[in-house]
Amino acid sequence: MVSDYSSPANAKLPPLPAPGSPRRLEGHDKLTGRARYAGDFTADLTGGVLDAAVVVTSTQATGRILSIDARAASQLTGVRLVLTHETAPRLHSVMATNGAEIGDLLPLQDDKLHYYGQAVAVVVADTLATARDAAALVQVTYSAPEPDAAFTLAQGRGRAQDVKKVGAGDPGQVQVGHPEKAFAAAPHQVDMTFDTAAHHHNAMEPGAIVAAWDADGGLTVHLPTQFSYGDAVILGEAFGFGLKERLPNIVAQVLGGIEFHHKVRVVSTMTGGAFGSKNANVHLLLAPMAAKLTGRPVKLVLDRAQTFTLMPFRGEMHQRIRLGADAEGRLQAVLHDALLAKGTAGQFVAPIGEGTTKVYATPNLGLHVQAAALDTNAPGWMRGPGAPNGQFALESALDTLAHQLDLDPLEIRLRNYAETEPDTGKEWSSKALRECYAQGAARVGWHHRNPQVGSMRAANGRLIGYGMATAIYPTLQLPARARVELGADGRAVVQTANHEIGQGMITAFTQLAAETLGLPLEHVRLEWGDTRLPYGGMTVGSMTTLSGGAAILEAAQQVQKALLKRVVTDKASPLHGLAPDELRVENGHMVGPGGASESVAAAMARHPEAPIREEATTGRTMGHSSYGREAFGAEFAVVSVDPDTMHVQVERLVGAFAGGRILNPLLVRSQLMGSMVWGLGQALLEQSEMDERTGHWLNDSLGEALVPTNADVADIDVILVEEDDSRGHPLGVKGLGELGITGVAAAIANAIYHATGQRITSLPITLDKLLATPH
Amino acid sequence: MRNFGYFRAASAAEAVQAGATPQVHYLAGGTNLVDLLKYRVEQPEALVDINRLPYGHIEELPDGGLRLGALVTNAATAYDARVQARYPLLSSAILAGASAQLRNAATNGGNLNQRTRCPYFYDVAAACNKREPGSGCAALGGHNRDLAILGTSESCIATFPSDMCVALRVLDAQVRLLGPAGERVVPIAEYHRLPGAEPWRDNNLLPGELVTAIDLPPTDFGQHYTYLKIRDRLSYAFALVSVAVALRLDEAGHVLDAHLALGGVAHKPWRVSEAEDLLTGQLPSAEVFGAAADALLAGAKGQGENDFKLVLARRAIVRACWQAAAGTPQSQSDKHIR
Ligand SMILES: Cc1cc2nc3c(=O)[nH]c(=O)nc-3n(C[C@H](O)[C@H](O)[C@H](O)COP(=O)(O)OP(=O)(O)OC[C@H]3O[C@@H](n4cnc5c(N)ncnc54)[C@H](O)[C@@H]3O)c2cc1C
Ligand code: SF4
Repeated sequence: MVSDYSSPANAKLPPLPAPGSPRRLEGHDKLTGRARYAGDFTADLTGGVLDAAVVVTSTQATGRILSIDARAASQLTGVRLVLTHETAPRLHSVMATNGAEIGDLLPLQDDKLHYYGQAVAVVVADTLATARDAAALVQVTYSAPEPDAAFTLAQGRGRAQDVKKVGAGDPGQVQVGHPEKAFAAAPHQVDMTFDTAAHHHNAMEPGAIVAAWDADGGLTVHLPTQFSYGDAVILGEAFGFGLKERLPNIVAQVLGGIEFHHKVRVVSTMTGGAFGSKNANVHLLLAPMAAKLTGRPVKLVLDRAQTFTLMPFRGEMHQRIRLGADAEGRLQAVLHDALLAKGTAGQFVAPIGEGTTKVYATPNLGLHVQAAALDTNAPGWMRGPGAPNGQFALESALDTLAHQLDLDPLEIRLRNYAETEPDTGKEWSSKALRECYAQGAARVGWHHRNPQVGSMRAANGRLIGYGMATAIYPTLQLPARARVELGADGRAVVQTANHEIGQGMITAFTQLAAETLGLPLEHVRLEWGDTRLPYGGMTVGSMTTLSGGAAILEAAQQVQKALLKRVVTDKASPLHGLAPDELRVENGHMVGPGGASESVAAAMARHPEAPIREEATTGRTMGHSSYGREAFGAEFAVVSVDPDTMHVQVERLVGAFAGGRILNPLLVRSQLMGSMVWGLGQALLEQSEMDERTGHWLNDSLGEALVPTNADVADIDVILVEEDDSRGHPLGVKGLGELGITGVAAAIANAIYHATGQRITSLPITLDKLLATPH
Repeated sequence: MRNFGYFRAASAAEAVQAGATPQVHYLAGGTNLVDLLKYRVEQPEALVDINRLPYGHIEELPDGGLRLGALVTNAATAYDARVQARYPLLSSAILAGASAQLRNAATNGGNLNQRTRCPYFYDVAAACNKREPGSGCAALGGHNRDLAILGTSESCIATFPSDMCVALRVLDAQVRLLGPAGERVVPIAEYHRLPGAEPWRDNNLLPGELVTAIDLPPTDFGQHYTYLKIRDRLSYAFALVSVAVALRLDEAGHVLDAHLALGGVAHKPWRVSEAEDLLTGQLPSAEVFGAAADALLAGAKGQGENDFKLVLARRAIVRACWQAAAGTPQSQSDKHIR
């Protein structure tokens, strides 16, 4: 089953709000509940009825499992299996390209505990209710916990170790010039430390998976994921498939263009919120393990609390920023020391130094990242993933420096504007950050505020503050492959195993193909999210359009070229004899000079036996470029603070972003707005509460984990600043999925300082922190 | 699956008879009870569904008060024209709570009997005297930012989370009960309990007793009132501290009568007559309101993470008194503290 969307649902809707911005093609289905997520499935892809699997998690973080008594659970009518480390299939080790826990720690392989909420058993039954009840009857006894466990950075500071590579391979240690010396010698210094709380994704859709083994020993899973091919490879490795079973070999797929019909198939049609959380998860392995033993298809959906321990989150981070500046506020040294929480297993350490290494010009800079492995589940990718925290620290420190020097916070940023990439010296592919500053400042009324700290009041006495910060997110690209086929009906099918994670990939790709081919949107159909389709890469790092879009562009261009070549040599065509480059294709028609024209459909209909099919692979260089490639933005916040309770209300957020070419302003705007809302949550609300005695995340429900509600969200203004990045990328696009979150917490913290004179250096900024300082 | 009995009571007598067995719970809107079942905090033998009982109306009382049926939803109560006109404080407090969806399902009787939100109470792996008598209290020395500063005991520091009941306390409501031994009426002041040595007892309801209605006496607090709820998130969050204030002022602005109560700080809505006496006869001023706040908070003690509540509560009380005195009650639709 391959999902697709032509766009009939759109037909009944009122005109589009912005030119070039078709609405989400799947939007109608999502609103009406017709869109199906893995958790909605009641049968597997061949119609087999699904058993329900429920995970049992540990209520202790360290020590060993002494015994698991599954007798009572197994006796319930309808229970098919209680899978434990004693009965589970042995798995082969796997490689998790995103540094996820399963790369180090496979589930249910031994009796050792690594964190609270670890999977210790899986119960399978004929109904979910029975599986849940049986799960509650599984009795697990543990040895005494280890006395020196550490669940927070404060407890685990002694475990700090230098990190060579952060994120997907960026350096964890950077030195340019002599930062320590330059800092010591600088006439003006700022030296501050920052702490940011752990917080979890809380996506609406939890982790979920349907797994079915077929009679030939093949495995099909259906799950929300950001990397179907990657998950397929992990499954293949774990369950011992070799190349002879024709596993999807990514390298061969990508570079050789070889077609595989492999024994492991991963299908991922709809993902209800991912942002880094749905990739190489523990449950990817648990469900097929269970299904293998029961011999029946299984559905496993995590409950909300389990998403806190079996899926990644943004871990705690502690940072120190030292800025040395001359009397004019020009940075002489930037020193950034960071200590990040890491999981007991898993390799992920968030890239946190984008700001310090890429935003401001300085002759001397140092980045020193350390990580402490705590006895918790592994932090992982989450929108940003370290940039918002890094920016909170850097931009708060820079704001402090500005106030120390009596400089306008915007002015100090302009004085330190980096004309070339600070850590490499490379020229930028494009950088319209200056315009972002100017347009954002104008929109928010920056120059009309009273710059003096604590000077502004609303009529009702609330303290008003303005703050700003720079947003940054790297522009990345990964290999991807796409196939475009123009059929005898003149309509095109586009295939690529990329993923719809709510960002609007279906719409953007369909639109891109239609525009490139010169066909109306309704004549293009996208097939996605299935390892039977060409390799679509990872839907991560704000690079869906950069990676997959580039492949579609190239394949579609080739199709058009072949089409034009065909008509000019086709005697039956009115365009016969013209040169291909004299022709334009618009709205399904090829038009030549002097008004000669033919519809694509008519031309294709003459050769029903010969559809035009082209494939393209792009991103072989992994986005490496001789240019510095970053997306930048300027974010401004206006807050009001209640002078009694110190409750902070964000009144306005203005973000001006330069992201190269904007394919679909509607989709881009909602991405940026959504990430600004998340930034607001990170600034003021979001915090996963850890019980320091047991290692248990306490507020593991949507009722208690505070994410912003409509009442908390301010007026949000998104400005898209023009930028030409055609020398950076064939489409001229940049990554915009994460940029919007990166400067928000800093802008809000700076606005709170402007309003109150209080410099809060830990996130979230809750009223107790502001009340702690007498005033 | 784990079976439990389900019985839909056709009459009050039937319900009370069925409800008198231990391990049987009344099911009203289910917004709290069903969660408790899912978390296995409650594992009843049976549920008695009381939704068909005739307590779904709001009625006039002969003395000019109102009777709120136990099964009237929180939403219907808050939006009732009589409640809005005569008891706007109650309407405001209800609308400050939960979310629109929850208020549509939650009932007045259920609200009165909702359980605490202490995280350890919901975590069956943690020690909790309220859930499992004698097991200890994980909140002591644990995560207690949201917990109580007044009336705590060594065995429990939980709060009673209701917003509605803080207003009921200020309005001197009477809770009408029907039990195996017949009807009785309990003043709201005596309905909820402090944790003491028996924290598993939230209130003084006897086994099998059913709340049938809440009676509101006639009052004259339509002008000078407010319900000020302070929370990290502006909607869909429990109070860190909430303050209900109802004042009557004479023409010169002197306080004739003052009622104030706090939510989010104790195991029951917190009201102290000394605090109110300090206001009587006075003109509104920061000093007078501050003195009342100090009296209301007398004996307050932080547990570490929640120490800030002492400062916050004092300021919130003063602010709420000003809102009430000025006749500018806190908006529950805008929710921003203005
Ligand atoms: C996520 C979330 C957020 C919330 N936020 C708030 C908030 O901000 N402020 C707030 O005040 N509340 C809040 N609530 C709580 C909500 O108000 C209560 O859940 C609701 O009032 C309970 O009413 P119910 O009818 O659903 O009761 P049920 O869940 O049916 O019952 C609750 C308890 O009361 C007992 N009971 C019910 N009716 C009677 C009766 N007539 N006689 C005797 N016993 C009875 C039941 O046996 C049970 O023990 C929140 C709840 C949730 C889930
Ligand atoms: S405070 Fe009360 S409810 Fe919370 S853990 Fe302690 S005993 Fe249980």
